[in-house]
Amino acid sequence: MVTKELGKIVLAGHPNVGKSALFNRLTHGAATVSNYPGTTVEVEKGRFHANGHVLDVVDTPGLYGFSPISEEERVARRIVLSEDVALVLHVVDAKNLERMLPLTFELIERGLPTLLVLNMADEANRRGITFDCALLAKELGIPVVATVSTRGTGVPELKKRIAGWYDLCAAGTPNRVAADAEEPLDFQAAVRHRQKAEAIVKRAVRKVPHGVLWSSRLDAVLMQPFLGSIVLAAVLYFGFYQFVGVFGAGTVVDLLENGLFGHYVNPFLTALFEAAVPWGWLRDLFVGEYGMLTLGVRYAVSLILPIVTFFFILFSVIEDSGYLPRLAMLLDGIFKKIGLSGRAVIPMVLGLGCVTMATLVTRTLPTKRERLIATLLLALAIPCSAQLGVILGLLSRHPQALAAWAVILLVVFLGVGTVIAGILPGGKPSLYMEMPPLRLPLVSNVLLKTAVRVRWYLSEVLPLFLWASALIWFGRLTGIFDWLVSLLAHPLALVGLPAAAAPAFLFGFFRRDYGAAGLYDLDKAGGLSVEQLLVSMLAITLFVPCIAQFLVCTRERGWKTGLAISGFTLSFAFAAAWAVHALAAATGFLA
Amino acid sequence: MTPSQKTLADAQPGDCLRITKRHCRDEETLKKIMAMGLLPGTELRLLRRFPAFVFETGETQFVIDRELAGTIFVEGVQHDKLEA
Repeated sequence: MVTKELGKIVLAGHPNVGKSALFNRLTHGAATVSNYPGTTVEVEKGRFHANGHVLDVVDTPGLYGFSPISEEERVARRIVLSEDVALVLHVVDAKNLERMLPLTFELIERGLPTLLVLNMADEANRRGITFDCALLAKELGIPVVATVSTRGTGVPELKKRIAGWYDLCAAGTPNRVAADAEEPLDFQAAVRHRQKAEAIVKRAVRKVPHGVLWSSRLDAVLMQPFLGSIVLAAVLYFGFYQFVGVFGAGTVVDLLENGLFGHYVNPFLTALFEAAVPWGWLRDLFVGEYGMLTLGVRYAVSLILPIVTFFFILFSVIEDSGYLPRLAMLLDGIFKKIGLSGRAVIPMVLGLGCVTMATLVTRTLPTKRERLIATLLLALAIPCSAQLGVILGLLSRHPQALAAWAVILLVVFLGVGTVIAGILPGGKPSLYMEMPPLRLPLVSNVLLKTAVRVRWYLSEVLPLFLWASALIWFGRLTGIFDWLVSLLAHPLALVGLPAAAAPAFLFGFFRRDYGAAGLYDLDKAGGLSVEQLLVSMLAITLFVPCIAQFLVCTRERGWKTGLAISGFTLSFAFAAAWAVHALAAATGFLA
Repeated sequence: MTPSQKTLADAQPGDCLRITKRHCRDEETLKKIMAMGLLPGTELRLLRRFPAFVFETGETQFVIDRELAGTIFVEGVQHDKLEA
């Protein structure tokens, strides 16, 4: 009731200390939580109730200190120092207080009302670390609460403290040092803060030596290059191929596509519209060959939804387990060759799910150069899960073609990356990354994250599918569609593909997987030879990803860059297809 | 090589080390090192050199590349607790 005028609550702290998980616990859902630094790509806002107060709370990206390194840190700093902040919840990793408390001092010294949240208290306890919260509170002069945000432990106590604080300051907010200009790095202050932190920790924290944790034994395996590669191969095979590909994109899609839609939904809708709408041209808009319902909704629900859902389940498990930073470390050397650091592994793996989402996540890369290279490679050489599902389904019957497709794609990824890295000016990327301990992912957290991502994905994708269907309908009605198809037939003839493949590539402009699905139908009708299948799959993989990705790309990188990337991607896709076609013709491969 | 010029890039896995001095002139690099909590006096233990440098400080592990490791000046320490 009182609360709005008093201002909002801000969650602040180092990357990877559980801010987003705490935010979710306070607000009951919304932000995405994960086990690697830098998932809070967009700032999440929410609201919760505590003892009669209605409180607005903001989640921020990770912040190491007040002289920021990355764009994300600048965002966090700006929010923390903004006018209407009533209370900063400084969330810290309880097992690393020496490293975390200096930021607490910086907050306090700036006159910001601060509450210290010792998060991941369970992990600290398992490592033989216990703390005297009362003593800490006394030494720091601010309230201290211990929590386990992923499980909600300590959150009621935290809410009580927050409400109590708001009761107190109904009288008026304290003054603070306004500091908006970016400050120079103060090395001396940093050293002083660190010493003070160590002194306090010595008094208020007890550490008992602990035995070797299961996680460190497993860690030794993951970080060893040879064994790590075997684990990676196993993750790719069982996780991506078996779980997402064979089960999600195969079994489940088949059930929905042929069973649900093929037998029930589409015949039912067609019959319904035939009875209700007497005009064939209008009926086609909804239930025709490219109808909004029979094609648009069917693709989105029976094909894309299951594949993407299975991918996001896998990705959330991988993410929460802490595997990604290990992978980043393993692949850093290779990524350096293409102008990126191991950190770029995260958007790349996410790109295998959804390139649009991954393009957003390139924000976590430290330099403009890295962001540009990552965006280009994502657009060109990383197939998204929906498309991957269709392609695997198509090529799995031709192992030779599948192997050729994979090898060519890898060569393109590394080759184009190397060339771009050579051309683009700018310094070499550097890798520094926290390695959170390996954790057993919580089912509830995995499901929550999957749900949040699938919801985002559908809201992004479904309208696009409907628009695409409507546009195609309009194009067919006016003859524009046929004109474009005949236009596309020329470059396709050049790469040895039949004119019947043109509609598929036209769909590809909306979404590559849409195009791949079109080729799927064409192949089912027996319209493609194995060589044509390889060439068309390669072309559609390297194709411009989708309209959503294009929009995000232009928003993040600017119009000129966005258009340049699309132009390059398109020309490269056809050039590569032509090269492979010529090579196959000359050598007789797959003939 | 005098001891005061030893960097993390010269250390071996299992070495217990202490940061000796403010190392690098480049402020952006220094910020990264400080973000990991590495200040003069901080102790750390090198766990791996390959495929990248992994070290432990406090209860946290970080991974950095060779270039960054080469900007962090360290000295060896005899430490019973860390070896336990």
